[in-house]
Amino acid sequence: METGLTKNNILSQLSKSPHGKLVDYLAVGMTAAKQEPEFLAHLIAWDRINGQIRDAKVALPVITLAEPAFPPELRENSLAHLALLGPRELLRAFRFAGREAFGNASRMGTVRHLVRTWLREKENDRHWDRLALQHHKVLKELYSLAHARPEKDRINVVLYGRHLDKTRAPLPTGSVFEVVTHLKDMSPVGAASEIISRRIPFIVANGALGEKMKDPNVVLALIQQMSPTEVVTNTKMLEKLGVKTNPALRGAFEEALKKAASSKKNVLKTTRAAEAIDDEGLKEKLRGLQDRQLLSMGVEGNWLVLGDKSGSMARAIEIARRIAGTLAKMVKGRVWLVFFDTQPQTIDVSGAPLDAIQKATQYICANGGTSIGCGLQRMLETKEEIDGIAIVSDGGENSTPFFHHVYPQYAAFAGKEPTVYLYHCGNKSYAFTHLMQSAGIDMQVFDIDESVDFYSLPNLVSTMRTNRYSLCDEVMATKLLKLKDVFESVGKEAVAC
Amino acid sequence: MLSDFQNFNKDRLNVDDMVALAAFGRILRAEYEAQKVDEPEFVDTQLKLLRREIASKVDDKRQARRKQIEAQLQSLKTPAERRAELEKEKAELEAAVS
Repeated sequence: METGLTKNNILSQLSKSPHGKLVDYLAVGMTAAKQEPEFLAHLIAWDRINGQIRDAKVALPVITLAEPAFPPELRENSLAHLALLGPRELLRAFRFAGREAFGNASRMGTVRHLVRTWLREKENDRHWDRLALQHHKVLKELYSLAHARPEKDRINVVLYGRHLDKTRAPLPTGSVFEVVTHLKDMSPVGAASEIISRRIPFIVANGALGEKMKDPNVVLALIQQMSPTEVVTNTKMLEKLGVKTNPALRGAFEEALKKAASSKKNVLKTTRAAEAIDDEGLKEKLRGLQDRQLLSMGVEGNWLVLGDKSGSMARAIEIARRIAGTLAKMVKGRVWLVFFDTQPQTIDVSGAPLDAIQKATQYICANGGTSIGCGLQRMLETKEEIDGIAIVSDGGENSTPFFHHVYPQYAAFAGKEPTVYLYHCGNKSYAFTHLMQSAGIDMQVFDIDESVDFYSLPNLVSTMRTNRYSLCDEVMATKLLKLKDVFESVGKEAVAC
Repeated sequence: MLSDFQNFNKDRLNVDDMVALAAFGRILRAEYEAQKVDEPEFVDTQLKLLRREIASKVDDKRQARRKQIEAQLQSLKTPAERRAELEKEKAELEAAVS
């Protein structure tokens, strides 16, 4: 049993979504930056590639920069990851640094210098127009916070409507910025053709089109320009615009969903969007998309989900269903869902969608005593081979067979020790964790309080591994970044600042 | 696969998934024939359903592409061509009004 802030603790704490409250990462992040700085640096790099929670990508690099004990040689990695953020996230990071993490504006020099370098780099990027089109206000705010001004006259004109010598100037003739202001006056086909040929982002066109948004030609052009995340989050709006009824729109939407299926960026958003949709057909489409996205996330091995259905564990029942549903889609092996009080009730949910699991378990209700071990005992009796165990419980084990007694028997039978994860929820009791600790059985605990919603669960599930240390190894094997990997024109001046 | 074939949800699957299921259905049908066993009713029903859905999705995709091409062609028109189009539309309107 692990004590103190271990790597696994760090992983489980930082895998949860604080829903925008970056300050929630501060305590554990600061401690991790002091106790496990190298691991945290690699975790920032790993999270950029594999993480689903955008808040963590914003907060963790800032926290490491704010912690004085964080080694200077690892700071460049944090800066490089901040530099990889989009404008909106960079602004959030800057605000978080200034208001909460640093606690002292005079220490903001490094971050401010980084933002200035980022802005210069973007000014020389050939995609600047697209960036400015979408993030006009954010860019202005970044310039202001970084105490910087654009170096190029055209950029000053687009952002502030003035030349560098401060004389007033209209938007550049023939530029995309000018076209956007005229979109609402164009014919629908004309507007659609401009949206496609100039690749005007959905969010910009949406604001500029007014009533023309309802024209199918325009909607079709917009669907083509949507990012996978935009497709998912705007499904409800697209439904109103005729994506179910108009054949051409239906075809374009199908294509957009196909593209979104290969994106790992928006799995959690798909979950939420599917819940928000009323239309059953569209709901199913989003669920199908989510299945494909989960499949691409991948977890190895056979899994056992033990769901506590003892008295007052209604929430644990639903969490267990969700975990089993997510695992069933993620793993290539088999998944068993066992609900227990003092008796186990086993369901093989391998490959089953969540709604099928919910239907199959709809009459499970919370009552009775608690024997976590009885679920594993069932697996032992039926000689099923498992590689990982996820327990969803308040941890108040009070009946035999106890899990810590059955586990060694199972390990002897299987010739291996399956990894054990506890999703600790409800009115938490620490009897089970103490028993596991005294039996010397390693277990990782995910603390599921009221703030952790079903939306975060796939992220926690994706961190589960059948080898106790494989995720930590994976994290440590992720390459740290240097500023020169991110900025073309910059060496180390931002760090040197 | 058999369970997927019997219970597929048309909204959840994309064209590629449906084509794969239809291919499975054809193999299933061929095997029943080869084994000289009566084919269960669901094979024909599901195959027909799959083919209809595939045809519908392919048709939707073609219509979407046609509209996209129309919009792209519009963007390739020269100012002179656009002027000519507007002149023509104006003349039609004037004729209708008079």
